[in-house]
Amino acid sequence: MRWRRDDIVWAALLLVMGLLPLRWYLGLADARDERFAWRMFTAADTVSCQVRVSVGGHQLDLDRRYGRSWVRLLQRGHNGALERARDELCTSFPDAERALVRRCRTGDGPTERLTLDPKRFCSAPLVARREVR
Amino acid sequence: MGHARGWVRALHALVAWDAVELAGRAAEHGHDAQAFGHLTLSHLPWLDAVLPAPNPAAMLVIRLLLAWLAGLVALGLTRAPLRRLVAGLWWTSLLWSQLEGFQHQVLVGWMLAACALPASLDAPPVGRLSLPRVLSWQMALLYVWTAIAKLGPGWRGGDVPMAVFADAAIGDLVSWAAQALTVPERSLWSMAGPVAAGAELVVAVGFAARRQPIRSLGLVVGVLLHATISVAPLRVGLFVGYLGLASWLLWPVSWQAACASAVATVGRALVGLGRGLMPASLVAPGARGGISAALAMAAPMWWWGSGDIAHVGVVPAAALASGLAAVILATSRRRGVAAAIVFSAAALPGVGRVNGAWEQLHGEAAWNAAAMRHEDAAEHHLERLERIAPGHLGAALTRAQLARERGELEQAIAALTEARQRHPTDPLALARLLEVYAAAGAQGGLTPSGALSRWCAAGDGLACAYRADELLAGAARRPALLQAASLAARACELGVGRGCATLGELHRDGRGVRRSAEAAEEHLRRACALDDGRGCDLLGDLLVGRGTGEGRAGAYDAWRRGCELDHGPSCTSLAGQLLAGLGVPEAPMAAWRRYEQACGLGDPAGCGALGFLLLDGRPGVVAADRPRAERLLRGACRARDAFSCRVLSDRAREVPPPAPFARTR
Repeated sequence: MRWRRDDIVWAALLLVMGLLPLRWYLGLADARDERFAWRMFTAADTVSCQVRVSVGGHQLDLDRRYGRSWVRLLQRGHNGALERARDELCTSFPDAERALVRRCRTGDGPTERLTLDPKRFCSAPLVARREVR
Repeated sequence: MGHARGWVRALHALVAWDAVELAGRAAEHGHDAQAFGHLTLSHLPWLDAVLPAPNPAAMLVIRLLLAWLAGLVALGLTRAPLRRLVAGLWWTSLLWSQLEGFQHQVLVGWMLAACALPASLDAPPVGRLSLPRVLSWQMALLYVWTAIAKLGPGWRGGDVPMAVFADAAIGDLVSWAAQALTVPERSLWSMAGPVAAGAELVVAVGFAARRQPIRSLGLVVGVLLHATISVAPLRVGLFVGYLGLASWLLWPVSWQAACASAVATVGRALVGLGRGLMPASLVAPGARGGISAALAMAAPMWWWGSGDIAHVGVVPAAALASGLAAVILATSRRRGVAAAIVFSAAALPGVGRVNGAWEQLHGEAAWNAAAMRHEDAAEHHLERLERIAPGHLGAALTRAQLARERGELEQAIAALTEARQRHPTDPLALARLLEVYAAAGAQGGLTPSGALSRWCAAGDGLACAYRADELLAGAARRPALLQAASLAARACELGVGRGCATLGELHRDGRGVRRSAEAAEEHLRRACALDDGRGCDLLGDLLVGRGTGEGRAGAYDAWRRGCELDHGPSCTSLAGQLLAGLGVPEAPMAAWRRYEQACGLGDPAGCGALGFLLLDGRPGVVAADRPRAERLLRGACRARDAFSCRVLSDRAREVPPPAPFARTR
């Protein structure tokens, strides 16, 4: 039986779907963003973050600003979501004083804290620090 | 009907159901364009440039349209071009939701795309890779990757913590099994990850295999796995449905499909999450028979499983319409009539859910605006809220709060009095009203006690119960005790659980009435039956105090009921019983969950117990976290939990901790 054009398309699709998770397993994707890693019910499901953003000294209502589905990504510690939020705040409030704090913990694991202070809000790397017990 | 066409129909029926459910969450995607930051986010960064900002109204329209069109395809009332539209709408909906979804939704996208290519389904599979083979490999790959995630640490922290399952249906099953087998719960928990991984590998092999018995085994294991493992009954129900559907495509033999359906049905019924039945039952043989069977099953499920939107009044209507449509579909050829009924009915709960979501959003927004003294914004949200849900309790409370802050106490009283008339059994409205009376008392001579007495005399049972408690809190003099007992008895007669609980407590202690354990038990049982959490808690205390096995079993039931009623101290008592294995098998994981629930409900004793467990951790339950432990213990101590204060003071003096949970509540 010979290969038809349809077969090649299907085979390519299968290859992509099969290899897509490798991006995550090889460490090329955000560790907490498991959406395309075909992973379910894993440690990432227990990550819970509190994110607080203030602009000009006033706390920002993230639900109102970004919508709940997006805030859920922030609360699950997706760095991609945080980076986008930071970029958007830098664009929307170029002159205001901005600050961001994200505190994450897994079900029974350590707590991490990520702080973007007003001075280097738009340029600081997103690095979380483990809180000392 | 060809096999492929039947498969297409069943897939679209699932998609229609999925879309109706997702329509209920449309309001979560973005808000009004002015306030929203026009921010998009996708997994693939280049998509951000083309993704529009989510808009709740557009999401609702797309999902309802998708439900309608997919439903028409499911009933065989449309032709191929519409299938392309359905696939397009599905992908649009997924992209607009910022790709918020699980793997199966992407898989469904590909399956729909396959349906939109007529040659893929109608032509006989002459190439090496027919659509069934592609999908079977796809499913096998998916299960291999998900199994790897559970095989243990080493794969980027790939082990499965118990907390993942703790809130899932399987969490309840493990607790139940541990109690039934009288084995420690943690011994079962330690097997959860590897067992799940093994089961997923069996499913993967089943999909990849060409031999029928192995495929059947994979299918049954897969359905059973997904019927029990997830926290979200709907999502898992749909997943079971998609799984069964893919299986049906691969093995056009009816008994396997029927077997899968039966297993899913029993599995979901066992864990009490019936809403998964509808999609699962679609794998029953024959599209028309499958859909009608599904609708027949969905009817009661909608009725029972959607309490949160029952107030909208559409759920019973949808359930009845489903049942009627099921009969029409099963017995006649009037598919057009059935289609109209089915999808009108299907849209109703979606609309109800949307209303529910809007209700919540406007309620929260109004409350926040009122708290920040933004009166205009608060009024705006209150108007919207009252339009969606006339007589909404939260709206009345917020309106009263605004009036109170303006110093217009009469208006606040009027708003709360109206709320009381609409919600006579809700203690919140009464409590707020009393607060306003207390504030007004300083200005106009109105007192909360006087108001309570007046309302009680007029036959308001809740007011009698409150007045009785007020008297008991005030003085221990005999006339006051007699009056309190009389008021509590009147409240109890009027069917107010709080009054029965107070009366039971008075009988237990012999205050103002004769001391009688029998009378106390009788009244506390009535209080618990009338959904009073404190009554259940006191009943549990009374029963466990007897020191008999029967008493401990009764206490377990009472505390569990109290905890179900969101009464924090009941959850704490239940947790203590589960932790110590007092009359029930020891179940530390279940105890941990109950303590968390109690603490979340504001019970200081529950928070203190959590803190105590976190001090040194519990193997198999929770790791030690001293900073958090101390925060919890300090908070509980500040709230006058004696146990927590004692633990803290012993720690300061480096004294060994007290015997766990041998405590006076």
